[in-house]
Parts: sequence; C-alpha cells; structure tokens
Amino acid sequence: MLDLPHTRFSRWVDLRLTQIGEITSWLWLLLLAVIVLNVVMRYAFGEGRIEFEELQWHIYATGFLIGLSFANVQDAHVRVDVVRARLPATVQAWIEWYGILLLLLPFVVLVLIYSLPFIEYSFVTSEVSEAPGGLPYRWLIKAVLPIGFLLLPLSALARLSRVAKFLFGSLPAEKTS
Amino acid sequence: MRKNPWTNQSAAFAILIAFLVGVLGAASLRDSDKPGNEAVATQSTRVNWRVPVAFGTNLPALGDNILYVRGALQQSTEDRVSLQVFEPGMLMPAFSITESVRDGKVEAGYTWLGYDQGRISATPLISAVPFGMEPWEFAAWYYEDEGKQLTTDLYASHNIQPILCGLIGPETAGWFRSEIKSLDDIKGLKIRFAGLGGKVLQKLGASVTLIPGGEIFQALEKGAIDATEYSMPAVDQMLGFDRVAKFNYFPGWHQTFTAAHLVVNTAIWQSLSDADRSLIETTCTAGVLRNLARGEALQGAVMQGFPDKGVTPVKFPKEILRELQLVTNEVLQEEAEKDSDFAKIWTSQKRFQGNYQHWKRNAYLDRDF
Repeated sequence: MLDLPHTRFSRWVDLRLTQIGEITSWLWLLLLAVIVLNVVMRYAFGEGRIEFEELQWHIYATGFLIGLSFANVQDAHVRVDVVRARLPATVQAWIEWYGILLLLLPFVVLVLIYSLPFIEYSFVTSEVSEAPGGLPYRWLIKAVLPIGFLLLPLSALARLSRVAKFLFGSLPAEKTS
Repeated sequence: MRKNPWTNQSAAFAILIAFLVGVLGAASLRDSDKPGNEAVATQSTRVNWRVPVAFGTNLPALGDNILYVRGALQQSTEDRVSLQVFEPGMLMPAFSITESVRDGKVEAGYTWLGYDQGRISATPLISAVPFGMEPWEFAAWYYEDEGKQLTTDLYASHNIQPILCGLIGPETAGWFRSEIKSLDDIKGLKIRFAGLGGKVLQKLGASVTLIPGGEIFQALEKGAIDATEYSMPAVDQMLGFDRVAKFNYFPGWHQTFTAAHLVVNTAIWQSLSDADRSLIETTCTAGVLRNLARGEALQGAVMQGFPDKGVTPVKFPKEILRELQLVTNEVLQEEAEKDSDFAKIWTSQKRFQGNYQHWKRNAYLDRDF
C-alpha cells in the first residue's frame, strides 16, 4: 500500500468527506428497513407497494453516489490491476498522478456537464415515475448525481495534493504532525 | 535514474501531448457529425442514422417492423439512406430513447411513445388508449383528422419530430398466474402494465409497475410480479409468459391499438432534403400497413397452440369490461384535468370517435359472424 504524506488541504477534505460518508452510511440501515417493510407487506399482507420499491433504488443510488468520495478517501475502491502492486512506490505515485489528472478528473467533468441538462429536462417536464404508483419529483434523485460528482473530485484533489507532496517534496508549508 | 533519457519531465510532457491530441481528435471527429452542420442537403446527401429501438427486433410485428422500414429505405435509395438499428439496452435503456434523440446523442429512435408518460402525460393517447380506437380508426384519425398535427405539436417543444411508423392491433389483456373472477381479484396483485391501462388497474387496487420487455419473464417466473401484459400472443410466447402464467385474458381492452413512432431529432429532420423527408414519411406509412398486416397474420396459429401448452385463453365477461370502462373514463378525466395537452388530444379523439361511430355501428358485421 502506497503510503502518502498528508497536506493541510487533504487532511481537511478527508475529514469532512469521511464525516459526510459516515452520516450517509445510515442510509443503508434505512434501505434495509424499507426492504423489510416492503417484503412483509407484500408476503404477509398481500399489498405490494411500488413507492417503496422505487424508494429502494432512490436510497441505493444516493448512498452509492455519496459513497464514491468516501471510498476514494479511504482508498477502498477496487483497483483492477495486478501489475501496479509490484511496482516501486515512486512509479505507483506517478500512476496515481496521471490517473487522477488525465482519467478521473476529465471523467468527472464530463459527467457534470452531461448531468445538468439531464436534471433540467426532468425538472421542466415535472417528470414522475413511469409506473402509475411510482414516486414524483424524479429530478430530485437525478440531482444527487452532480452532488456525488462534486464530492468525488474534491477527494481526488485531496489525494492529488498528497501525491504531489510525495513526488515533489513539500508543497504548501506544513506543520509537523 | 539520471542516465535514463526518459526523465519524469519528458514523460509528463509526452503524456500531456498524447492526452491533448486524443481530446482534440475526439472533439474534431464529433463536430463533423453534429446536427445541423451539414451544408444544404441535396438528394445525394448520405443519411446514416443510429436508431435505438424499444423492442427487440426478434419480436414478430412489435419489434421487426423497423427492419422492414430499414430494408425498404435502403433498397429504394441503394443504401444511401441507412438506419443502424440498435437493440434495446445496447446504447441506452429502452425508456431513454426519446430523451437521447432530443439531446442529439442519436439521430433517431423507434419506440412506443407511451413510455414517456412520466414526462409527457399525454403520450399514451397517441400510442395506446384503453377502450380507444381500433387500428384503422386510429389511422383515420392520424392521417385524415388532427392526429398527425397534434402528435407533432406535442413533441415540438421537446425537439423531436415523431412519425407514425408502426401500428398493430389489440394486445392481450395480460397473463395472470391466478384466475380473475371479479375485479376484486385484481386488488393487491403486483402487475406489469403500461400506459393508461396501468393507471386503471392501479385505481382498482393493484400495484402497477412498468418494466422493460426483456425483464418481464424473470420477474414473472420469480413471482416478483403476479401478472403482466406486454404484446400480442406471438410476442408474448417468444418471451415465455405461457410457461409461467396459465391464464391469458382477452379482449385487449387496455390497448385497442398500439402505435409505434420513428422519432427524429428536429434539427436532423430539418437538415434533410424535401425528397428525403417525403421518402421517410412514405416508407413509414408503408410500415404502418405492413406492420398491421403482419400483426394480424401471426396470432391465429399461436392461439391455436394454446391447449397444448396448458394455457387457457379467457375472455372477460361484458360486466367486467363495463366496470373497467367506467374506471377508464375516470382515469382519462383526471388526466385531462391535470394536463391541457392531454385534454386537447382526448377531446379531438372523442370527437372523431363519436363521428366514426355512425359508420362503425352500421357498416361492420358483429364479431361473431
């Protein structure tokens, strides 16, 4: 595991994103409750509810999108490589550097650019679920997309500052911790 | 490290250059096929559209009609006008087709407009209406009355030109795992039902969901839903509904006609020459009749085979249908009060139907002749 030094920026961002992630993680408990409720209502009382089913993917999407930045901070995301782990730390850091600059950040920007008309269209047409009993205000859940994708680059920039410090020595003045 | 000519600085430089070349290259390629950039279209301009479809092209009548239209266009123009058909889910989810056409991500699409009901609540009226018109009656309203204009107007603000391009008769009223003896039996069931018919069942106490065709069988088999409607027997059989639900209900009260449209991005449509627009419209008109013919041709043989498969076709008795019609009228009334486009189109259809009744009642033999 690559051991990167912290910067003042990264420490602040990581702390906040970890807090946001931890608060968001309560959503999974809520999701569990909704699922249990839905199952009991359907199989014990013979009453299926589309609202609850849709609520499930709304909660799941929210937890997942906010969780992206949390996973990046914790370095808990999946890295699909077998080669990188064997490389020297400096090379790993360079891969991290270019990966964030050339792949992750442009991807985030693209998602942000394309998510705005996506939400706008949903908002101006007052989009509701296609299912008759489904949830209204479809734009609300769509709006979680850019929120997740604003937090994600924040976590990426924090990590970038740590990689920079590792590669190029001290960047901003840093108190010894 | 220092003897290595590949210093970090030169590596950074090279990677950045490669990245920029890639971005610029991609951007310049994209610009060339952006809508509206072409010079004035002539009759020799190539038309090559990506056309995602909402129904698998393996599905008889419902899905394969776009292949007929594509073939006819290519043959009559010697491949100058060609459609690249993409199966559902290949480029985008089936329910996102019109949005992608609107944004110009694809030039056109072939879909059932009722799937847009979450955004444009009047769309079921132009794609399938419970206790609505019969297919040729709908064609009469569309081509000879206000249908075409109202359909065009409905989508004008969405940057989409819709062209009626497929039409089939009624669908089956659904595949149920249990028998429906009265409308009370519908209460509490979880049903996949599209469009306004779905709203009617919701009002009767069912819990109605809308899932794309490709996912229905699995949901029905696993018991995630108790019943479903999808299309005509020949299509439903291919999807395997008869293997997991033994009661197939008729008549298709919820969808007396089923219309499919070719939706084209307005800028793309306007960039075509008059000749090409006319060609596409005419080919779609041919597609409508061929689609109707094919849909009618296939069902008899399939239904003849029902007994061997243990499937019981059941016709709802008239009293149940009358009850369903009452609820349908309530639902349509509510929708019309909520949305002015809905009210406008419904009024037009009702006027036309009222007019047509005089002919329909007198001219046609009763069904049992």
